[in-house]
Amino acid sequence: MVNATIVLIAATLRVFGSGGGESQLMPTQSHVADVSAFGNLSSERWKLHVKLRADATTGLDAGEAYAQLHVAKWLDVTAGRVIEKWGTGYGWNPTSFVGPAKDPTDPNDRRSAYRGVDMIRADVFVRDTNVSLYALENGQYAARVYRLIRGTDVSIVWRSSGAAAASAADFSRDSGARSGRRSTAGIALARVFGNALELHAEATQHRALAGGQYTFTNDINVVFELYRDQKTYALARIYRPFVNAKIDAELIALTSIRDRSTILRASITRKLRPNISAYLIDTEFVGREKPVARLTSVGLRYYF
Amino acid sequence: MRAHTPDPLHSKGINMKRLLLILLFTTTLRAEDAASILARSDEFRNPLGSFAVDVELTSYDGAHSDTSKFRVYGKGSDRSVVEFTAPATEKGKFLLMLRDAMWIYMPSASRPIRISPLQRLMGQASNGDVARTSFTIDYSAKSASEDGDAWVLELEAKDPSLSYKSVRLWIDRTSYEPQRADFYVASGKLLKRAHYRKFTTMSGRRVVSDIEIEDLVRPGRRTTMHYANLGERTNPDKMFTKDSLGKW
Repeated sequence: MVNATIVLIAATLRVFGSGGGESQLMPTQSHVADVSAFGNLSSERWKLHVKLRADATTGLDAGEAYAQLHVAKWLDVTAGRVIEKWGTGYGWNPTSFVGPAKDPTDPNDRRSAYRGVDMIRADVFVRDTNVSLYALENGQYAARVYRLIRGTDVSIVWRSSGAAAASAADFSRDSGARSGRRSTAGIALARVFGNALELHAEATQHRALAGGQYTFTNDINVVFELYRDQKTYALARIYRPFVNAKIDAELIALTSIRDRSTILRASITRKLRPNISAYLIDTEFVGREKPVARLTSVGLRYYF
Repeated sequence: MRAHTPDPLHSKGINMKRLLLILLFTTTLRAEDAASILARSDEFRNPLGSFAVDVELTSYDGAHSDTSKFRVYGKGSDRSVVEFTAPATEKGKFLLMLRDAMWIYMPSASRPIRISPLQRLMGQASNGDVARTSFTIDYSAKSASEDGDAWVLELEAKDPSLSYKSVRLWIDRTSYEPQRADFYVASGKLLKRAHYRKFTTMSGRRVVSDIEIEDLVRPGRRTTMHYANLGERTNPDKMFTKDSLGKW
């Protein structure tokens, strides 16, 4: 009992999260609300982590829930549900063999809807190299080796063959691991040049992505990417924070190179208070084959 | 017997050699002096080998001000992790800096993203301003001169990819406390000026507690950084890896 008390005193608890509501104004009216909370209880030897999300339609769900043991200075072992995001791309991550599907028009998952994969993971840290080994659902295995080589992030990833992936939510639909019938390998790179330019690339046997981002001295940040799956897509994102007005403006354009169909998503976020933000998102679908369609949403989010 | 008259050319050659030797020696001495002065001055910013410190950042632009809070974990002078603790919208974010390489981790994205030094943390302070706790690791002190009660050190970036190619640093000649630093980009333009305003004793060491950063490109904009609760902390090496961000 005494020991348990000491262990708890030595632990650090962090709780944070957000809750909000979003209303779609056009073309039809609908409303959604959600609350997400992240909890971390950690000591020098262990960590418990949970991400809970309650949604008006899906109810309460644990997006993440895992225990991590720092076995040695060079070894961590994690068991439970973990959101893994591999890759260096902004809109797509073809090397993300273990992780939730990504929406290129909402890559930051504004409503914290990502859900993890059940796994046992061992992280080995040896001479500035990280090796992560995964035992996944359906008898599948995965591995990732990461090292910073002369300023360049280099990750080599692999996932074993096995039973078909359980669902798109378990294995990224852009991962090349959709069938799950053959093993897949890939490489992801990222490097910063000078003050403002970052270039990145990812490649697997069948998919590739190349892109970068540039930050101008007036804080405008531009992301540009080309992604080759069965089709080729291009993404551009322009982001600018207006610090005095407490406004962030973002424009994302996602284009299919073959048919020129495009999704344009413009959003404005205004910080009303240090912990309350309001946003307006306008999404336009433009294409030769499909008629122009428009979707407009407003939302309010409280952070704690 | 003819009196020995020195060959003026030979004599001039000897003098030139002596002058060159003296100059070389002086230059070397200057560089060594400058390096040791810089090392002593850096101790006011990074006195502990492995530490944690709270940083409060307030950005001013005319009548507007905005405050953010961070906890910085450091090891040596080239590795640091910045944990965002306030406001609530920023909680759960982490920034890793290994020399001049940076990654940011956001709990929503669940993936550390490589970022460039120019991407700002807040206000006039770049990521590097908060995360970097020493000049020695990134800059070579090329020379030292005197300016009143201060040494003026000319620092040059060891790596050309660093945000600022050169820094001119004023250091108190008696206490070795840093007073002011001017940051220049590769074009030679003076971009930013830091004033080391206050010093205090934390964890038994005299350290800088308040830094003010002026944006010289956008006059009127400034950011203050207040340091508190500096303490020794055993930060394991694996904390300072991209893959560990947000996982400890």
